[in-house]
Amino acid sequence: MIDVYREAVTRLSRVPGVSGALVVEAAAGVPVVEELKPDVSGTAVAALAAALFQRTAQASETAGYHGLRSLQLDADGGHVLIAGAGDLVVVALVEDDAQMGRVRIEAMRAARSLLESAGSN
Amino acid sequence: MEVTPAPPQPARPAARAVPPPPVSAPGDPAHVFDSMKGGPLFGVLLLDRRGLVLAGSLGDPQSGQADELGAILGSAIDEAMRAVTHLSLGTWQGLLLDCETAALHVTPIGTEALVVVAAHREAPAGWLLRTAAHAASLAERFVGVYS
Repeated sequence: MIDVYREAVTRLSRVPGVSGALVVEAAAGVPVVEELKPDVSGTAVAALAAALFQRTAQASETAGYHGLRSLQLDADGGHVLIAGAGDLVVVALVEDDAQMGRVRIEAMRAARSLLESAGSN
Repeated sequence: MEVTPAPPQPARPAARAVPPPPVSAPGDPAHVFDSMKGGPLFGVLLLDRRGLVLAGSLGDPQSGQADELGAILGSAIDEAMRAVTHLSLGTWQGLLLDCETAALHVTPIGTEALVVVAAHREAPAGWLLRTAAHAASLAERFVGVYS
């Protein structure tokens, strides 16, 4: 199972403009697999990303829009993309000038592969 | 010839009060974003940072949930700002949400307000970003009038 996670993270982090990627246990907010720059704390990113995803998912449910599939946080210095995958979330840290369309596709693909892997086990 | 006096005329009614402006007048909070209606757009909401609705409506079957959405979105935005600060990403510009039955975009209006655009979930992300930018400019004008 961990190989599937690692492959998803490796593939996502190779997309141009992606500066880091990780798979996070959503409820606990802890990293499962990460590929980040040395100066970025996976523990902190995992906790922040999981909290953001869960809060936003709660808002979506409350408004009647049901589950949250993905979330893209845009800032003037870059982006954070989070895709839900059951109990996990896939997180990509993205540079400001990246091709977000491609990053979004790859993040959703990674999330799907995690879901399929969970379903087959 | 006998002249018959004209029958007394009923008193003229007093001048009527000026009617109130129509509900679609500029500045009417409910109709600030009416010019954007159509296509895959469900609606637009302007919220203050406490999550209270300032203007607009979601305009879809879930529109009764606007207050609840506003109330809970505030804490999600706090998390977003925390993430942006921790990752040294500068100022947050927006939040694009892909939900099961809708696509949402949240844009900050200054430091005190948020504009939420809700659209059909199949709405293209690029279209949603442009629509959100347009909604933000309308919201800035509205907030400017009342600031």
